[in-house]
Amino acid sequence: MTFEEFAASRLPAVLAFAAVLTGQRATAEDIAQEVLIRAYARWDTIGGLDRPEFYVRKMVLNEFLSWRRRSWRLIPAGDPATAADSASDLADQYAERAALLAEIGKLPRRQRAVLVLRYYDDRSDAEIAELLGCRPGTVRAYAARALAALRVELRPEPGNLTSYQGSEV
Amino acid sequence: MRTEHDLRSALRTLEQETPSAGEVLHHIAERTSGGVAGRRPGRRLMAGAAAAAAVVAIVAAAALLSGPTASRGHAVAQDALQSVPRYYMALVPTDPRAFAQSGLSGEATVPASAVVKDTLTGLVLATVRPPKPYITFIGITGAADDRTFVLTAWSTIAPSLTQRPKFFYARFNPADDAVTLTPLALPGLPVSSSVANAALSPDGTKLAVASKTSPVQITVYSLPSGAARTWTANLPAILASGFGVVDQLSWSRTGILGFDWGGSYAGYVSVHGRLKPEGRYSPPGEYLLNTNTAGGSLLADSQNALCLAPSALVAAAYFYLTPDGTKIIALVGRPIPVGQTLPSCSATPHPGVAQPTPEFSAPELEEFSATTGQAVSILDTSRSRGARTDPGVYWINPSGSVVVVHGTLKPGSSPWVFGIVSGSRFTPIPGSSSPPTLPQSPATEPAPWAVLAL
Repeated sequence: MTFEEFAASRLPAVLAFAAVLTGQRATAEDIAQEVLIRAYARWDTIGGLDRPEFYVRKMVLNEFLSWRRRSWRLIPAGDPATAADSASDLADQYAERAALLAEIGKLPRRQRAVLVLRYYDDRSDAEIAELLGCRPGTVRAYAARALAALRVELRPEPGNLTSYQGSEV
Repeated sequence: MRTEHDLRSALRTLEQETPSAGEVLHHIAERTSGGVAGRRPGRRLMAGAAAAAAVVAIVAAAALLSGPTASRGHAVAQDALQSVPRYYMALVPTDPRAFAQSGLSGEATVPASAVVKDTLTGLVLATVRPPKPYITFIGITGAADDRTFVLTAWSTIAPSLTQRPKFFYARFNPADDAVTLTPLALPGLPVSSSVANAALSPDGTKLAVASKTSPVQITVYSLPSGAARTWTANLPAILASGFGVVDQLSWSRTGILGFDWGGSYAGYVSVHGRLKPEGRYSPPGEYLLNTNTAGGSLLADSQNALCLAPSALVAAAYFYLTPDGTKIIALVGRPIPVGQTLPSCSATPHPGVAQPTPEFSAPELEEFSATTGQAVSILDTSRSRGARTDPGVYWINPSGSVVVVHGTLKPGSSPWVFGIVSGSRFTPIPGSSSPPTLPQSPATEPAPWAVLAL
């Protein structure tokens, strides 16, 4: 896969991943720029991998975990102040969502990364462990701590029935 | 206590923070060119030939994202494309050859599959065929994100008087282009010939299903639990078959469900072999049902937001509530001047008399206030939207300023495409005519859902 093909077909998904990871457009863009400049310089190697996007996501993840250029903190769209303002206008569920996002923003970065990889990127614990360079047991420990902090109850997803893959790409 | 579904939904909302791919690539091109303008303190830069090569490749990549030309018109088109969801789902013929040989377009004569397509590139990212024993997908409805859908499957090619539809929760994962289908166990579904419409709520947690035959009702299913709440209209079967039916469901983000109502009294009783109307008359038009209640009477629990007098020279029959709940988009045959309302609905028709079928000779999309019923703006004219469109609106942004419609660009044989209407501009979605898309539903928010062969 050439860099141009990657940019045309996969870049938006990588940028969305960075946005969910950071919760801030500007930070997502900064991280993406850093990663893509480095990725391009090594594209001969990355482009020849089985899963170039997986590798680039891993770079985004590492950049996010080590990002300390500025004294920013993670404040996603649901800052508590925003939640309080919007509660009077929107339904309770949206105020609750904003509050949840604010709490996600306060989690340690590795815990937040595990949540994003598991619940946004739909990665298995084994894949998350590969991305983070740790053991699956460590991933589960991070997830358990984060879910406890957010008061998330584990229960079946919608439908509560057998899932199966329908992709026939 | 929160659920994992709450967590997924919350994280998905952060996608709104996604930066533009084109902007990112252009910034990289600036930085790697070594110029001062694009540099920020502390950035690591490549130098020399590597940087020059990077500029060439990145600019090429940006061009791929933004199209073959850098004209202002093209930039405007790119803005339009980036104002709608990145991924959408559409129905296509499972066997394109059989579809072509049928000589028909958009009718329920061939089995349909679902495809996930990329709005920017037009690429088909995934294809989903209905799991056995189901042979065709008949409708799609989507959540506010660009990857959560509900598909409706039938085990027969035509509407059945005995078989019930099956709903599947479909989740697209852009990381590997896979679609996960989960069959939904929804109790009390009507047979497929009775289902008028279905719509997934913007947060993906509720599915509303409208039944157009006795009992005429709307049921809202809570997808995590399968719990159902039902609002019923007390209509006798003879009237429910073609009069006073519900149709065209659309959600607001606050749990208000808009539906199109054909006009009816609250109920009817049989007196000496004749039907006698009972209760308040509910004129045809758009009604707003507050689904945050426990269920009950469909008409008593709903508010008539826009009415349509049977005698009015306005061919409005398709209504869509904007996700922010403030406006209703209507397809009208003749625009109403801004500030005015649709003609009065005071005239009460004789019960049981079917309303005239509106003609769509030159339909226009117009926005009305959901609270006052006054015309707010004309969203477009049919001239700007293309030569011919189906009456559906397939996606609406929160405020109703951007919509996705389906139609042809030129009269005659030009292919059907999905396009974005924003202001007076119509922007075709690239690749939306190949494979030939059945004109039912790309289905994103609020994703109206249509039954074929109605």
